[in-house]
Amino acid sequence: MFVYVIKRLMAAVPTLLGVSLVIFSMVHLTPGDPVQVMLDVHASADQVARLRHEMGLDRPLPEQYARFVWGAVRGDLGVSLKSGRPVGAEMADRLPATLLLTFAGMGIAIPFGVLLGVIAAAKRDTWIDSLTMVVAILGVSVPSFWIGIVLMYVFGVRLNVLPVAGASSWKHLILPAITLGALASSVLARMTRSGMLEVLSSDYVRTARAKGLAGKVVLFKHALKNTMIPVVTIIGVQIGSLLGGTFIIEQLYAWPGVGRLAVGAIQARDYPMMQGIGLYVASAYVLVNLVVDMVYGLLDPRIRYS
Amino acid sequence: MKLFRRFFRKKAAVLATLYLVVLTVTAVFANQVSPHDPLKVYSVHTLEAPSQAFPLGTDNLGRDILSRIIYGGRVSLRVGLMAVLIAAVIGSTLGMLAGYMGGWVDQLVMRIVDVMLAIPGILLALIIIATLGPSMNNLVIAVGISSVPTYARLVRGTVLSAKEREYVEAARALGSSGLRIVLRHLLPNIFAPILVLASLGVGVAILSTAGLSFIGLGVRPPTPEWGGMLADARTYLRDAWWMFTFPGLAISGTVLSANLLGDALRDVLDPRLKQ
Repeated sequence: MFVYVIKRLMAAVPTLLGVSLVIFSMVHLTPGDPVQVMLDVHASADQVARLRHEMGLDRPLPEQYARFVWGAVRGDLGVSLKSGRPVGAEMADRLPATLLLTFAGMGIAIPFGVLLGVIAAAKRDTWIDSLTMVVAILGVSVPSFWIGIVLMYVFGVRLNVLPVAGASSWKHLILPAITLGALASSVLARMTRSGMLEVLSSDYVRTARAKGLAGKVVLFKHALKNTMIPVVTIIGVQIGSLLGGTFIIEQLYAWPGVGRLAVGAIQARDYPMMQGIGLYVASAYVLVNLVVDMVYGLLDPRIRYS
Repeated sequence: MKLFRRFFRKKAAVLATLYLVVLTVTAVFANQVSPHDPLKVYSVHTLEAPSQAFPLGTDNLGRDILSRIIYGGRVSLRVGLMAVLIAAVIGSTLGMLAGYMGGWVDQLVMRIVDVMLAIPGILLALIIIATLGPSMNNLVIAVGISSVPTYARLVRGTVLSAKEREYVEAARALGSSGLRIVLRHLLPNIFAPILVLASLGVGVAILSTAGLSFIGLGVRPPTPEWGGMLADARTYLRDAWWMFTFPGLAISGTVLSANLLGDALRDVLDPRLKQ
């Protein structure tokens, strides 16, 4: 197991190097000089040149890239052009909000989505099954930020019971978490349903029923457990993308997370920040995938890591 | 013909097709069918509720929302279709190269795909937009490029399995060139899955377009675009429910139709893909 983790982490290195190269080259292809962004238009040519030199922007690109990677390895992602603070510190400030939103959203989506999927499969071809399928296709068709706006209108404006922007109390978490949870649970419900349908028609489920086990026991103990692998994969994908910050939902609710930081960085052409966030997001993805693969072993003892 | 009949037996697919046809026709003939100029500001009619003159109401500047939705359909359809075309062509070419050539080509292509998959699609699109600047064409490129890996993977997998079939071996034995084998024997095999993925991809592309415009990194104002209209509506939630309701319905209806159409196509063309 330990060897497997080390191996997987090693395998992530080229991927992350690739990601850093892609992000670095795109950011440095950006038309517009970051130094011009930092200084105002009246800065003299001399000032511009000095700042470029200080930031190392006058060096050849390969050298700049090497410096960026070497810095990143030591945990130094450079300094934000917008705030003048270290990129790592800025991201660390925003991370708790994104983590909170991610886990709140998944805390809603996992029980709700999985339960809906199980019920739909158990009551196949009834109204509740059709309803689940409608919810599932609406979930991938209706833009989440529109759901967010409608929730804001109903609960924030009409009923006036929940705040619609910011993050100063636990109440602020409710609407963004529901918005994210709605999307994720529709995907989960669909996956759970199709997995359950497959398992429910298998021999061992028929055996379990034949020996007189209660329907609920068969459903949750025998069938659901064997459906969990694809479901856990989807949960992993969802958590991975939420950890990167939900660019649009955070923007909608003025939620002070990594996603909002990223949008701000892009608008301000704050390139060290863009590089840092890109690298962080990709690492989060790789890490979550690793955790998902470890969970497979817990769910299915036949899976061996070597 | 049998395929057509099977397709039109599904009520949802027929409705979805109808919706998309109406949307396409109104978008193409927007000049003729929209009641007002989408950019015209009626300054005495700001934030008006739906009425006979303005069937879906007006926005904060006094522009007709129905006309803006009709014109916005042009953006969504153009970006949706073009982005999918880019993604499908580049992705399938890469996938075919990797699957057919194997060896280091395969290794190289799949490493690139791995890297792209490690960056979430929306972030990749954001970075591309940041690099190229926000505009309609760059939006097409950003949304298109970010879904290239999906096609590359699917096509590679399909080619790998098709390559081992007897008819490909037979063609090779008969002395067909590599290119001929790919175009005449492999391409028809992967056409159905690509078409299915593409029809489902249109919905994703339209959602990304609206999302990017919503956060101000897509189509620039004053060009009417559904996501941009929702961004404007945010400030006027209290005063104008029609400003956020109708553009949202337009996006949802379009993406839903594209998805239903994709599902139906999949059932008809490639029942194996059915979940």
